[in-house]
Amino acid sequence: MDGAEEQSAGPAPDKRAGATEAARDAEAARDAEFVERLKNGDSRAFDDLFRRHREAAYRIAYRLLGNAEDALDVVQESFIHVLRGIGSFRGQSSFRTWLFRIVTHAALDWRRCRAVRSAASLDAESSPEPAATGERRRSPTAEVAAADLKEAIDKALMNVSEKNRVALVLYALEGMSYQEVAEVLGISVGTVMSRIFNARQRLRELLASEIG
Amino acid sequence: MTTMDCDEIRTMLAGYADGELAALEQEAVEAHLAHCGPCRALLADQKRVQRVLESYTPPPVPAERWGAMSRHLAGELAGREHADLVTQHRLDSLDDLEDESPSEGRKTREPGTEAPGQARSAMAHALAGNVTARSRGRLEKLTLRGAARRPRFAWVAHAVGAIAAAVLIAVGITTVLRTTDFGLAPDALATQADVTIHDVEMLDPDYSVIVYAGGKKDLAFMWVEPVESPN
Repeated sequence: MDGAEEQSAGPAPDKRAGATEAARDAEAARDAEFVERLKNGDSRAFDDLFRRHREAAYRIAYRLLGNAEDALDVVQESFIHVLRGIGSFRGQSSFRTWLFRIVTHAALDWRRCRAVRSAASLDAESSPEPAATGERRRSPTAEVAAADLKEAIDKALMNVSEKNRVALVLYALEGMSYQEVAEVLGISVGTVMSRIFNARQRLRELLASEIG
Repeated sequence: MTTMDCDEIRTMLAGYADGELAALEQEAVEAHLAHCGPCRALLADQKRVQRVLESYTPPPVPAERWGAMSRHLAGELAGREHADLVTQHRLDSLDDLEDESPSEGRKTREPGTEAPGQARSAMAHALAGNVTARSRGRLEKLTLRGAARRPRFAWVAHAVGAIAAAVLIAVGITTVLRTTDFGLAPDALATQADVTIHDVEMLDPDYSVIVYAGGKKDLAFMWVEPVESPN
């Protein structure tokens, strides 16, 4: 890992319309090769896995936490967990599914810890992100309007129940199938469907003024 | 096809909106939607929220931030590799022991020759967190569980218990326990904290078990070596 940076070398996030089963299988097979190389002591394979999946890991963490710095800390922690746990990874699920499970749990743990810290501290800086709804500024420019919407979504997501939010983030925002979400969370596909439905309905209420 | 009510249909609306339903379920939902305005409105909401979410991306991460993380992870990896090297050295010696026959004495390994014994595999995997392995010959069954966050005294209790179990199995009830033959240095025990030995069975009383912990808090090495004969 040389630290030289380039644009994301990983697979693009799945877009439902374009992501085929075959493409997913090919990516999973490629990941499996890197995992095998890493297990055999090829340290470059770890860098490859990191570059391929860091953006997706960040997106998940960000959408679960609503804070970029926290999300990056969670990504780092998750890849350390990967490094330490790769020896016991048996490949029964894909590496991606395994990683997303790690990231999800790490983010939720992080959030709980932060909630405890916030409750124990009167420091205003440790409070959650400022509210996006309420006295929201309006701008004539589309750019600022988009930023407002983004901020509103961040805030609204944080007000969706945790279990519903996780299912929605993994499916709607990271392009996993219902089956993959079910594997990551260890629940049935029917439960995934129900949680996604409830999460969207809640967002619909919270974003009523933004999305009409 | 049976007619479903709104509650039943709504459990499937997300799946319908996302194209995740089986054909039969999809037909059932479509049949219901054809005559149910409220469910059609819910479906429209589902699709609208999904469209909004798909256009939403988190703030980009600066390249230097990824670079810093990459370097941090490289440090973690380097630490792991260093630990591997230390373990490799110990495992080479362990394989020497396993290859040794009573009449031949200890064999010398050819430089660079791999000797992938099961005990070696067990030790290598122990670095990754946990392992269940069955080694050749003398160390019949060994199960290790990395337990980096366990309190020190809990580890000591486990270790002492495991060693005691090994002694009992090794020499049998009718044999006098030769506890001094088991070279577990008291000072080593006092400085170790990061491994729990769940199960050790020894078939040969002439071998002892020593546990070492590495510099990293979640690494532990298990070692088997012959007890020196009195003469």
